[in-house]
Amino acid sequence: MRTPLPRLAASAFAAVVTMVLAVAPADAHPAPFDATAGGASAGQIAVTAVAGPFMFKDTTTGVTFTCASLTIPGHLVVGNDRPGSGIATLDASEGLWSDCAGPAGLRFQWTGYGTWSFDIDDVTNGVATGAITNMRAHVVISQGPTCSFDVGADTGTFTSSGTSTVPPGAETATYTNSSQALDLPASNPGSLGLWNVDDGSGHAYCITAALWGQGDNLSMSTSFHLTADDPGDNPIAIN
Amino acid sequence: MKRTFRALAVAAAASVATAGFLAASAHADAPAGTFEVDYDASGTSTLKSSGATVDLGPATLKAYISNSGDGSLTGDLALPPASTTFNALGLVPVSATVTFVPSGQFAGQMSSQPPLTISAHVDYSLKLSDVTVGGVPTPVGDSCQTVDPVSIDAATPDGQTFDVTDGGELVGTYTVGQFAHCGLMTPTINLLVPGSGNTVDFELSNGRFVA
Repeated sequence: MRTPLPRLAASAFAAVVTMVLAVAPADAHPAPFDATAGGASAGQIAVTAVAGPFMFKDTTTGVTFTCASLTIPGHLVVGNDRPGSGIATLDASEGLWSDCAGPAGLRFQWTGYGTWSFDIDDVTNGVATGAITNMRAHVVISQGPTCSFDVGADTGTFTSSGTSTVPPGAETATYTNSSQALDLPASNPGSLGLWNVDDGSGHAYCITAALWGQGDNLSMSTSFHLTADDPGDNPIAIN
Repeated sequence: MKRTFRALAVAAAASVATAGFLAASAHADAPAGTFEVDYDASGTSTLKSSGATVDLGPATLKAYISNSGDGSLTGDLALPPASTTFNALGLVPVSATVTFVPSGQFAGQMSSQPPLTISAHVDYSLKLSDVTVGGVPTPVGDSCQTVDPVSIDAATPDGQTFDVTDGGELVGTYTVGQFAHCGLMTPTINLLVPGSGNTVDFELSNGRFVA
């Protein structure tokens, strides 16, 4: 009569082990990583990240900005056993933000600064997870009120104007091999900051701090399609 | 020949200038130092003394937002005439056309911190026309209106926010004073319409920057 209990326990244990194994990622791993690009041999290749639409949100006030499209050239380091840091880079200063608008259709011009770096710390089932770091940009209202501001880190103290005073910020990002999509999810909670706000009248906000104010938290969300400039270097995969 | 050419040139220049003026006047009406955002506006006003409800709009609210960064704004809201009916003393059906005639621009203020809200003040004269009492047309003349403009304060309701693009609701109250120049109906109108506790409820939507 005592035999069935151990048998049951053993069965239950086996079932739990099976479930855990089934749920656990088959190939989750940290660095080093392998980056491949079609038939490209090891080394740096030119890539282009194309997104559209691109959304940028002041998460403190809820005001959103959009651009119809965003194109940024960059590079991918092809090779095995690579570190996750800088596995791909985007030359934001060569980026082209097109047809950008804010609330009520106010028009904006974006200028990217520096080299944005895609740093990964994990690959699971063909999806690389990490962040785009070293992000900085300068934004000017081109139609509407006089106003400009910088995008950078979400913390700090900034009193002088000029992008050089803004530490770069970062946003979580993923790259999916099967779709070649480099995604900045909309759920990004606002890890960037808005600084050097200049309304031309000495205020550190635009129109009212209820819309854009110094130190507001910001988030970006978009989905880049990342392709090698040389068609023979596609597809791009990180494993 | 020279004179003809000069005349043609002058005429051409004039027509270019006229075309330029017309093109310019199609742009924003915003005064210097402001930028314009237009909204679709509609709502209702309820007159407490009679219980009459008046439709406000549909109309276009032109908001001229200061470029000085202080969140102040002015603007124009011309409202079309609206018909209303009510029962005088609870018995006699009365109908009238009510026109809110603007007495200058409205002045408003955006909140200085999030969440964004708006408050505004505007003055209108209330004008009555096409009055019927018990179905019988009752002449009130062409100048039957309040002696003093009614002063309306409206603001984003508590717990709500205003969005520069999507707009939002504005509610307020106002007092209606005495009417004049309504002919023999003046005493009757002043018995039925003036009073405090009248309400306005505006819905602004579809905000768009006007270049």
